[in-house]
Amino acid sequence: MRANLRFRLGEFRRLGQDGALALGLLISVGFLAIFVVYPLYKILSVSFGAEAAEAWRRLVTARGTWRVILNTLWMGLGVASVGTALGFLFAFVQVKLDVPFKRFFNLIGILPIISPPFAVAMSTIVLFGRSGLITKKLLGLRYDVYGLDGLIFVLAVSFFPVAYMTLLGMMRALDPALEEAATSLGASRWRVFRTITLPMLTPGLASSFLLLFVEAMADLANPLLIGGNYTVLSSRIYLAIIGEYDLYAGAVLSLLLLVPSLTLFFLQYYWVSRNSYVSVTGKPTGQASTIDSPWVKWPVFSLALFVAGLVALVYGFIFVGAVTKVWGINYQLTLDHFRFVLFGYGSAAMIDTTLLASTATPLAAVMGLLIAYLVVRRRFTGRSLIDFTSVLGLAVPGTVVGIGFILAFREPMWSGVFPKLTGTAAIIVLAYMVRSVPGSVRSIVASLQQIDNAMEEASASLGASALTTFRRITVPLIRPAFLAGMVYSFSRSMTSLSAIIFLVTPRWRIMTAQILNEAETGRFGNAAAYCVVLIAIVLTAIGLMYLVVGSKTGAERPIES
Amino acid sequence: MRRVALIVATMVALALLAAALAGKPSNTEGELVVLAGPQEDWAQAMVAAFQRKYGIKTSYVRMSSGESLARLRAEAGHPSFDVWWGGPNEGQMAAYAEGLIEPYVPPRAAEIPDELKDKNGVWTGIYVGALGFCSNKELLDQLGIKPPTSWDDLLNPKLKNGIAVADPRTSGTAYTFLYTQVVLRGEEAAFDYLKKVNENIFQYTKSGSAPGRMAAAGEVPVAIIFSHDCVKFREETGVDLVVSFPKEGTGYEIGAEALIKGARHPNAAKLWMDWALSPEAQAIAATVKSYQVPSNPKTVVPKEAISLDQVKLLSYDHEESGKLRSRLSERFGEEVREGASAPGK
Amino acid sequence: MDSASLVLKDIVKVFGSRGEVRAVDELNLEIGPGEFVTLLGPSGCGKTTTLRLIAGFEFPTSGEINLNGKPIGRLPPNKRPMAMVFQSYALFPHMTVLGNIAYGLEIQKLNKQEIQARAAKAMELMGLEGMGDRKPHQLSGGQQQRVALARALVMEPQVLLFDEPLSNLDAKLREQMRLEIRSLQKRLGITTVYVTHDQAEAMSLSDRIAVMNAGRIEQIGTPAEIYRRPATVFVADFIGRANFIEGQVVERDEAHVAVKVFGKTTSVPNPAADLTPGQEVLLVVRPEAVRLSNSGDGFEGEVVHGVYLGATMEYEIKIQDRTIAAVVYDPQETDTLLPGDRVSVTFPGAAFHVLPK
Repeated sequence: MRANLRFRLGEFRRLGQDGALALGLLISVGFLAIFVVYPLYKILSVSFGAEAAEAWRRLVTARGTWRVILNTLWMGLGVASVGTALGFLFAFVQVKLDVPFKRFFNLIGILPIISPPFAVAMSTIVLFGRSGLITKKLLGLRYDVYGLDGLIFVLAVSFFPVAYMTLLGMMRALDPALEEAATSLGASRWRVFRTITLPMLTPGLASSFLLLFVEAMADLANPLLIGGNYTVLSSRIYLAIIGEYDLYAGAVLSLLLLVPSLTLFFLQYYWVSRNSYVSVTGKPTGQASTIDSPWVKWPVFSLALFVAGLVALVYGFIFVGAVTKVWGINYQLTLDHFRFVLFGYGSAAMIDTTLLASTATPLAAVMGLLIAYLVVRRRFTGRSLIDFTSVLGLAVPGTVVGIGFILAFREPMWSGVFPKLTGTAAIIVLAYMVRSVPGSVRSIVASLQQIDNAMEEASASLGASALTTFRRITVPLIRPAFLAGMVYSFSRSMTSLSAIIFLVTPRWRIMTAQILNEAETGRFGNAAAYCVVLIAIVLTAIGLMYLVVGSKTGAERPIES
Repeated sequence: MRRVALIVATMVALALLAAALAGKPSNTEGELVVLAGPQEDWAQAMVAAFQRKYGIKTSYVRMSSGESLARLRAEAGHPSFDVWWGGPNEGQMAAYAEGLIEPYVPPRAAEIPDELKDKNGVWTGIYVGALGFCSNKELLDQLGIKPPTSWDDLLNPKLKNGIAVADPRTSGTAYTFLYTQVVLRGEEAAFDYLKKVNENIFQYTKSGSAPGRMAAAGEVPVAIIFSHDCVKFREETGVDLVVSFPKEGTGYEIGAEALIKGARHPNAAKLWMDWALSPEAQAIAATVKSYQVPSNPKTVVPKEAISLDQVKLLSYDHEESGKLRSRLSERFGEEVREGASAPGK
Repeated sequence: MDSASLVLKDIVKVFGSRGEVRAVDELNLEIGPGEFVTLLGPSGCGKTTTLRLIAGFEFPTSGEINLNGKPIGRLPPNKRPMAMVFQSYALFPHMTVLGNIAYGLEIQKLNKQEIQARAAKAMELMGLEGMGDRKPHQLSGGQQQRVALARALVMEPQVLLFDEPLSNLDAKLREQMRLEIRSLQKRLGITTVYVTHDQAEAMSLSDRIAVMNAGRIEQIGTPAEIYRRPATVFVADFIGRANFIEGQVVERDEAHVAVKVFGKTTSVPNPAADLTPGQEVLLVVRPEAVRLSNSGDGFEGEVVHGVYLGATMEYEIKIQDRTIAAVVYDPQETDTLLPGDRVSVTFPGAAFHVLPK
């Protein structure tokens, strides 16, 4: 026992030898402990505290609560299924078919990542609602797009890129030799697909399914706008906090939302992503073979084209909404909405949000780097705990993060040394960070894992201190991942709604909250203009980051001709 | 690489600096924060005009009445707002009952009729609006029905999935609807009626005026909103929206302003409150197509505004309605929306 | 260049929080200045761990490591005056060849001219002139290896460490590099510790070989000592190929031991171990030491199986109920034995090496 303790302390001592590393450890642990773990703890403690007992009783006995929970699960199931199917379709077309428009398909596959909340929902209402351009004016139907079907459509379109990218990566990494071996043993193409390809893709499919389920359950914007009377947990929580300011009900409902979310997320994280069957040797031996049978190729292509067209339409239509007088009703062109956003009171939100997101992004990227480095390169007790905690910020639904922050920081702590944070810009920046750090960490971890540990050891054997090694060897090699982390952080922060909706203050206007305001008072034109401006800001920032940080490590091989 | 490291380091440093500075709340007089009930464009115009006239840096947040109350409750003792301007006076009264409002009578309140201000100075009325029906004429014609002129017209089976109204828990407009039924029928019968109407409701929105957009867009034939909001949507979209009122009598809202207790800029707030009652300030409403009836009789009333002479306004004790707001809204939530098993939903 | 002496004393390295894996178990090793010592053994024997302990990438659980008498066991790797060549070469992909080689010198903050001069010298030494501007991925495997070596040598280290550096090269290149490494080391006189699982490599490069198994050194000695007089069954089996024949000690005196094997008593000179009459022993016989003839002397054997390999012919011969391997050099057509042939098997005096069972 004593030897065990000495062993663990020895690990820390070795970490501590390196001043910079020790500091890094302190900062990361501090950040995670105070801003991720503590708010969650507060939710738990408030939910199980005495004052929440009445809220428990009220919520648990109300039939409505159980219906809401069921609604949430159904919605999640629907979105996960449809979204995974869409992602698979697009990945399949990219990798397995030799058809035109691949770049277009790829663009559609990643477009929704930078889309602001409500954009797709508003477009869907105007296109497919009761007075929808497509449904009513073209097809003559009065279709009630509010509710579960509208939600599934909108959420599937918004989140399927997650499935697309996961499956794209997997399909590309599949060793074609396996399929060739099966074929040479007499298996038909269909049999190969069914018995070799699909099973190998199972981790990707399962992973996408679970992730989409979690994202759908956590989403707030779309249930508010297009959910109609279909209430889900996130909108119920919103109602509890904004409508009733019942923090106890909010905490209890957050707990109810946390349980399935965390379970599914960690199922995905620990079970699926660890059991990858891509191939034994890990090195693909050639290009994936394409399927040439016209009975397969053209129907699938047509389907993909139809879906891509639909998605493009939905997104493109936002621009229409931004420049017409009354979206869906009066198609006269106008710049009034843009004027409102760029020069009117809306401009404050634009500036504030960009400022806050820009503040959070480098901080989150550096934090992600610190945590990723510690988790991958150093061994010490509690390392897997830090790994686990670093993804919590993403696994926990945004609304829950928001409530946790309110509960944790509405009063000063430690006799005033730690100030009250609600109502400040700092709390919004921190919320952004908590939500973006996980993505940054994952990206850099993946990159670090690909860097041969021996390189850092070589650097050390040549006399470099840990800091020098980090600076001259590690960082240049993970530059693309670092950039990806920054891009992700910025987009995520700019489009974040659920995490900050409860933290908005008059001094700091957030664009997404403004969009919510405009959209749900029916001022779709202004909301659309906000969306367009938001997309423009994100794209510009991404461009700038590429320029400044650079996406090359210097170790790239030119493509052999 | 050094260059990049330097840039990233600078960004981080600036970020930390900005965060540090941003954290400090400003405590100087010479600023004003308004909690605004009416729609953004009206609030924005008022704030701009006030700022222009007095040179006081003003900001606002627009929140519906329920949210505003919730927010003030949460910030009790350290409010981030100075004055609550607009939104039905039940809100201000409920807030006063919870000790969140400080009574103040602006000098110009003398010009305001007695029924539009609180005798103890808790709130002062800035506009009046009557609750009514906002119908899409084209859809009504298709259904073969006339614009509703009675509350019971809402129970018409032809209006199945055809009515939109807000949820009383977040919207003062919808609460007026709820309380009107209580006044007309008594609480139990009111909730029976509401459960029946629920069968025809297409959607409960969050904000009070959103049902108007749905009517204008042709998504529902009938919306229950304040008549001035209906006029606004009609003017903005050019769609043929018909305003009608129930013959039994309808509720009305008195949009009010009140001084928030513990406001950080009380002097600026008082200045605002006085100015907001002036004819010139109240005339701003018409410039942004807000057609509520202004409280100051001297204000020039726009012609589009619905004259309230032909409307039967139910007079009820707004203080009472304010007190009952939380309980009745909650009951609505449990019995009408979630508890009742609605077939076909 | 100053070459250093390296001493490992009672080194133990244990992994796992409860000490489940005992990678290095009471290891003692003394390496003299300028000596080339190879740690040889199968995978998992602890040789790489030992190398990493010397380099400083692991710290010993207990025991001392001394360089020129000074303890360095707890020094971090960047503070030890050693340089390591890695199995994967670990060249920095984002730096040029020159950048890689100059890296360690830049860390030492030498001035530009000195860095240029030393780097140029190292490149010349390794035959890399003119390649300074290339990136690692533009080099062949062999060239990458040389860069890794140049990068280590330019540091003028007191100890040079190699972690299976040739395992990624093809056979011909491997042999070539072996010669180069050996001649380089002899010329520069740097104390070197080399890790490999390839015995041919170990035999051709080393002054001494430490054969390791399960965290312990089974035997240290020159290649000849290890080969001719393996101290344990493991060493005998690991180095080269060996036949193990059961026998029993009949009697022993100072210079000889008489052993009963295959029913006959044979005299084996210079026995190493303490052997008592009646003791069960194993006799180690290398296949090339087995003499086949049709003279009728020796033991009677029957050919089971023969493989023609060009330079040699390898037979499996059955004697009594044991099968042993025999190798014949420069086999002539007329000598070829076929399965089923009877053959006489003799073992020259020094063929046997006795090990306790």
